[in-house]
Formats: sequence, structure tokens, C-alpha cells
Amino acid sequence: MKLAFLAPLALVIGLAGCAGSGGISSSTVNPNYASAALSAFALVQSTATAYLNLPPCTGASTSICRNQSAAAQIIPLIRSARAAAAQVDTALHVSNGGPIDVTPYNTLNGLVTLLQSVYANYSISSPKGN
Amino acid sequence: MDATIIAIQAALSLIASILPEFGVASSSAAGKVIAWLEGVMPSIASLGQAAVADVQSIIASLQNSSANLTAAQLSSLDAMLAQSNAAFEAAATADGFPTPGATGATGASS
Repeated sequence: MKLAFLAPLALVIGLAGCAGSGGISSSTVNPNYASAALSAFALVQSTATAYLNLPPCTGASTSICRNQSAAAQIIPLIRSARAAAAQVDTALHVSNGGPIDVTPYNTLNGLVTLLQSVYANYSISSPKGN
Repeated sequence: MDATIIAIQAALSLIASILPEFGVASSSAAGKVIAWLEGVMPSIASLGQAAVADVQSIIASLQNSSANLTAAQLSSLDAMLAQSNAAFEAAATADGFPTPGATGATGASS
């Protein structure tokens, strides 16, 4: 129950990777897909921020709280994803808002997938398993 | 729940419902949506699962725009990311995970 707070993250993550075939080729990605990926990352990060602002869990915690083990895994992944997001953002500027190389976009999506695995490990999608 | 939160929830729901119908084919429309998201993003996490799902829908709709991004849109994205990054680093530092390479970061001692 303590990690139920993170359930919204599970909804958001993977969004960047839900792009259909119309916006991505083998080498480039539609700038709006890239923009959407950045927005999704910001949302994931915003939710993680709110999670970190929760009080830490204790043995007697009955309300929503922050699991330090989860935080320890989420924080570096967010920072790595942010670096990838910065590359996507830079590529958008370099292309003057046009299509960008797909590599940093895929990197960002890969890190988001890693985050998703962390949430799965903490049964975030099954909060009843406290 | 205060009036601002209720208003944001209502707006999210409305935008999420109308974007798929009208699309965001124009760069101007997409830019306005991104700018609005930038403004409400700090509050989204506290609004719960329904709000997140609405934002998810909005972002998915943004993907359908075929126009290139304008300089203003890029600036909005930059501002959104900067705001989100700063808030996260403040929380992470307070949680004992200071920004790597930051000087004077001492975890929760602030």
C-alpha cells in the first residue's frame, strides 16, 4: 500500500514509447513525437518529485510514504533519463524544430522502460501486495 | 481540494476529450497546449491517477501534429524541463541524494 502513490507513474511511463509507425523511421523521429517524449519524461519526473517529498516509511507507517529503497533506484534512473532528454532537447534545437536522430529518442525510451521495471519490482502496479 | 486544483482537473479533462476530435495539426495549437502543460505540470502529480491519464491522452494527441516545432515551443519545452529538473533535484537532495557534482550539497541538512 505504501507504494500505491507511484501507480500513476506506471500509467505515464511507456508513453514515450507508444509512438505509432507514422512518426518514426529507422533513422529519424517526428519532432512532435520527441516533444511528447520530453513532456512524458517531465511528467514522470514531476510525479517522482512528489514521491520523494513524502515522509519516509517506517515500520508503523499506515499512510502513503516514501520507500527509501525505491527512491535509491528511481533517482539515478531519473537522472540518466534526464541526460537522454537533454540530448533529445538539444537535437530539437539543432534541427530547428524539425525531425531528429532517433538514437537519443530511443535511449530516453529505453531508460523509461528501465524505470518501469523498477516500479514492477516494487509491485507498484499491484499496491494491494503490502 | 481547492478551486485551482478543481479547475486544473476540469481543464485536463476537457482538453483530453477535445484534442482527439479537433487534432493539433497547427503548430500554434500544439504550442499553446505545451505551454499550458508547462504551467500545470508541478500540480499534476498531486491530482491523482485520473489527471495523469488525461495528461497521457493530451501528450498522445500532441504526437499527431505534423508541423515542426517553433522556437516558442522549444522554449516552452526548455522551461518545462528546467522547472521539472530543479524541483526533482531539490527533492532528491533533501532525500539524501544530492546532485552529482554539486558543491555544498549535504543531503537532508538543508
